[in-house]
Amino acid sequence: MDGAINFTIGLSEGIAWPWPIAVYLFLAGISGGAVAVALMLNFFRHKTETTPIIKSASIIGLATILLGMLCLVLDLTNPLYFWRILVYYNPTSVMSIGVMLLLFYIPLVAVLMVMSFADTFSKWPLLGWVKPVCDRWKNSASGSMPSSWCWRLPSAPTPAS
Amino acid sequence: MSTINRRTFIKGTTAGSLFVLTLVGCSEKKSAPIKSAQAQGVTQGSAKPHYVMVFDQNKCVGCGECKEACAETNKTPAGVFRLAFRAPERERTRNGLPVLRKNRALRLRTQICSCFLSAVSRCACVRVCPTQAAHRDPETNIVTMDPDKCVGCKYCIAACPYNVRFINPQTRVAENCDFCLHTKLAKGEDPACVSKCRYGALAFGDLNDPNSYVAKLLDVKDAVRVRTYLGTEPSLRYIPVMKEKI
Repeated sequence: MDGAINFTIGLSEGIAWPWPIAVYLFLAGISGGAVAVALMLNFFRHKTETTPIIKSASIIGLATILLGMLCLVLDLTNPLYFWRILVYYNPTSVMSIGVMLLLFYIPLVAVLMVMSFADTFSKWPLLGWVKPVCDRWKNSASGSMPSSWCWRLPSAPTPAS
Repeated sequence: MSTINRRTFIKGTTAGSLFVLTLVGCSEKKSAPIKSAQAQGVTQGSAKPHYVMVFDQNKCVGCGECKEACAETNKTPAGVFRLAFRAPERERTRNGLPVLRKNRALRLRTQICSCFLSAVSRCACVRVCPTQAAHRDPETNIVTMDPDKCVGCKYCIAACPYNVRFINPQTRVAENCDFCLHTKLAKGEDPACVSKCRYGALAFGDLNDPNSYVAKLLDVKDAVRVRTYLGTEPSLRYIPVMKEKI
């Protein structure tokens, strides 16, 4: 007998999420795509230095994901209380898992951007300290890692010299 | 051989993902049994109460006093209600002309669609809420809100298959019917709509208590629930109108 009632009314109408959510998804796609393309290009070409592609991808990736965050936060009905979503977690909620991933991804892209623009920052007045910090970090990291930390693919295309 | 070539890699990942996906598919079916034995919700021997609301469509006349009592108790702003209410098709038309009916009052039918609270475990809003603001009250198992945790992401509204959640424009947090958990039930009273209904169309009680009114009522009446195939175990039961045409 369950389901005998034609149940059609409700308290809210339409889709709960308005257009900023769609814009956020688009921006997040641009960000992730740009960073992924740049990192994979370096990876498969066995490069570790900062290429122009890394530079542009990191700045595009950071700018779009931050704009996307703006969309997400402004879509909340309580935008000033967005920190609650960073404090309380629910592992069964896909949105909560997404927050965890973003907390991992956004600082990573920010670090990528700072490191790839360290040379540029050294020419700016107040940001001269960035390059020495990055260099020290790079040196300590390369000391602790094997020299050929790129995964060796036998059929990887050889970089054009 | 220290390196894997591309063909081996692709083969390996494809075979591995197929294996994992098969496992996932199998376990999904096993872990989601539809408890048809609990279709009428009688869970014997459990310590926690199983609160249900019974709505008798045959007794409802559509006066709407339940809605007013709900708004008064739950302090919802004007025009916003936790309880949806409709008297469908008071007058049908035939050839563009309204068909006049005798004793029209008896023909008003109502749908209350709030209070779809899962009494077992699979409530969509509780699962998707990223901050655990929508949660199950540990004592009564009633799904309720913690307004101090809600950010207003509207995920629960999008997820609710019964469309009974809404954003309160005053407090700006999501709300749902929690059987007046913090207002009336805390004082040991019935929910506002139940105590206000003068036609006995609404009943509320603990189904795990065999002596409760709702348990006795559901023993003798055929009650239906909406969209039970989703496994959400809604707590509102309808006694539907059987005589559609008199």
